Amino acid sequence: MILILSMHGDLSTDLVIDWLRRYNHSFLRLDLTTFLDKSATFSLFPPALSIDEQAIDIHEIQAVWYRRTGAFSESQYFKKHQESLLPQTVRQLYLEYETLTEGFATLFHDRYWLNHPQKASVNKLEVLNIAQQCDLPVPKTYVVNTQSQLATLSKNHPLICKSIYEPDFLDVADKSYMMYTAELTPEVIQSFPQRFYPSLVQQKIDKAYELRIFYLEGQFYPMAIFSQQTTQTQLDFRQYNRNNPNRNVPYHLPQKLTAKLQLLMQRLDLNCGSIDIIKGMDDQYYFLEVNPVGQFGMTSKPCNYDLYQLIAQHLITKDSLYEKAPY
Amino acid sequence: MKNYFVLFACCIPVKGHSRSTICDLQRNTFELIPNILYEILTEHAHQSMQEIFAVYDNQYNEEIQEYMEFLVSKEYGFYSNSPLHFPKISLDWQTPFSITNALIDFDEQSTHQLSTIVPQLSALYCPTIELRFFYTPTLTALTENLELFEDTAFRCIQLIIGYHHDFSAERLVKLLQKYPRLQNITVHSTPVSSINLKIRSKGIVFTNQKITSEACCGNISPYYFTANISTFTEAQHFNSCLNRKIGIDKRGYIKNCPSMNKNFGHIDDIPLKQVVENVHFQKLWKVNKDQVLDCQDCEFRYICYDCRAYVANPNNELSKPAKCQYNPYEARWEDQVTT
Ligand code: SF4
Repeated sequence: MILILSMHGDLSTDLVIDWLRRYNHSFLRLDLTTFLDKSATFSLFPPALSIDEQAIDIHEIQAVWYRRTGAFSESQYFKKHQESLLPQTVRQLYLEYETLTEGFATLFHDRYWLNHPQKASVNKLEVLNIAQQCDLPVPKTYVVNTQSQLATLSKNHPLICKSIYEPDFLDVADKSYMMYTAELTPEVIQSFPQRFYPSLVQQKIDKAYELRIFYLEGQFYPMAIFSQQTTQTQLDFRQYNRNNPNRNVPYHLPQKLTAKLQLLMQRLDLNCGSIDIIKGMDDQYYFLEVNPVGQFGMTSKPCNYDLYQLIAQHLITKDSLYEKAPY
Repeated sequence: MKNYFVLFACCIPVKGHSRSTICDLQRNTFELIPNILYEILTEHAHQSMQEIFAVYDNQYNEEIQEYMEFLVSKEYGFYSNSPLHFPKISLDWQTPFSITNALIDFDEQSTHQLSTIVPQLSALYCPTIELRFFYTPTLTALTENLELFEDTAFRCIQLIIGYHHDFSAERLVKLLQKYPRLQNITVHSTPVSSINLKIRSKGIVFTNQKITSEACCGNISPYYFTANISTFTEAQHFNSCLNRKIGIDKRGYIKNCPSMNKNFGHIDDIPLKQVVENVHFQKLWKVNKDQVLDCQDCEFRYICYDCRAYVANPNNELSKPAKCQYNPYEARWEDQVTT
């Protein structure tokens, strides 16, 4: 039986499950808010799990897919209690919850995992470092907090700025703002105060196109994104142009590049994830970042890769191959 | 100067008898092109511009160049030095579902109950259902019907209902909000002309068209052409209308589509699952446009819906849709029939 750890309403999870049903393979979907919103108990010794008073034979589970964590803030529990609790209490409860879900994962420590909660979030700076060690060209990268430093750097090459942590949506008064990659023109730099919050700044690469590559255990599913035609998306393809969408097409990676990327994924201990690369006007491939649990629908559909089916097949193979865990 | 012209893989040339199309599967449009350009784009796809010029004895360099410039300006393709980095898109089509869509008809005399149909289809994980009322149901009846979909496998419900002054836009928007699966509502036979409302990803259409029998279906016109990756790839292998569809007509008979003559039994007598698994029921699923007369020579064949219920020659089940006014041999639309 395949265990799927996900969150309520995650479409990618639904679409993989469609295939598991089609192949008649048993699975248990656990949206991690389950522990907050349903009756759920697990025991460490001996390992056991029951949900809604139903015992689940966890020895049946040989493969686990960690799709994503149910956000604490999306649980019914949080919505119900958020007003009445102190911010500090909320923080503590959040950490309790996070530790609980991590601890729950250890029940299955000797099973096959596709993505792992401990690897769900990578450090962008560390990844760039390791990529460099894997001989992947990386744009020059700085963390800067003064305007004068920025001005000096911008004399060498044009700069862009992006978040150090994963970008998020900011919801302000009914509107949703997305953090995106922006160019730091001399005028923009001029407008900054002398000191500002430490920020990730990178050399701007003149790009021919971008690559978004889905990686699944040694296999690469690359897509080229042509965003250069419209200035609106030149820096960041997530700034989507609805009238004239980017051209997203399948791509063939050179073997040299896949070898390096393979090494990178091994060094990062990731068996699944989405890799972002820029193909520069200078014909170089510049590594940007890797996202272990991103949405892959945006790669699957335009390239007709049917990644949902592939993931389902992969999980089934692993679930059937893995030795039964000793009792 | 970059030497190769490359079509974006989502822009696929399709050859017809007298002209061709480029079907743009990302922007849901198509472009008519002469067959000679089709030839250049397919047979000579991996040749450099110079080589292509030479194929045509360097007689048409300017014209060929102009074609390419046109395609670049419309963002169908680009110049590159490494065309081999850009493989074709796979034209495979797969679905995890045995049935992907259901069409259920009702008129005022109908006796079949949605309450017996919905659980059966949900057990088959059918994702999409269209409920077509040739008359005006009451709001209470509608709500009762929609309640049946709670906790089912359905992802999308489409509703077609007759007009009533009670069905104001606000009322219908409330329905859309209350039932997350309800994707769009079409109100037919309205006294006023047509209105289209978009509410986020959902929609409401008021149309003065009278959808009062299944015969309203099967129209072929560029208006209905759909160019996207899933319909285009499905149409390569299967019937673009009937594949994995199940229909129940207004009398409760199970069919490939309510307009077909042939039925596979009555909903009160036979489980839907049994019909779906019947190889005879599945036969029409595999009739793609490449098998249909005339359509097989038409440049629109993978973006056009098919119709097997109303065919041009009732004695030949592989003749083209009766309501098609296009002649691919002359590349000409006859006068549109109105229904
Ligand atoms: S000939 Fe066939 S494919 Fe062409 S428009 Fe008519 S019905 Fe569609």
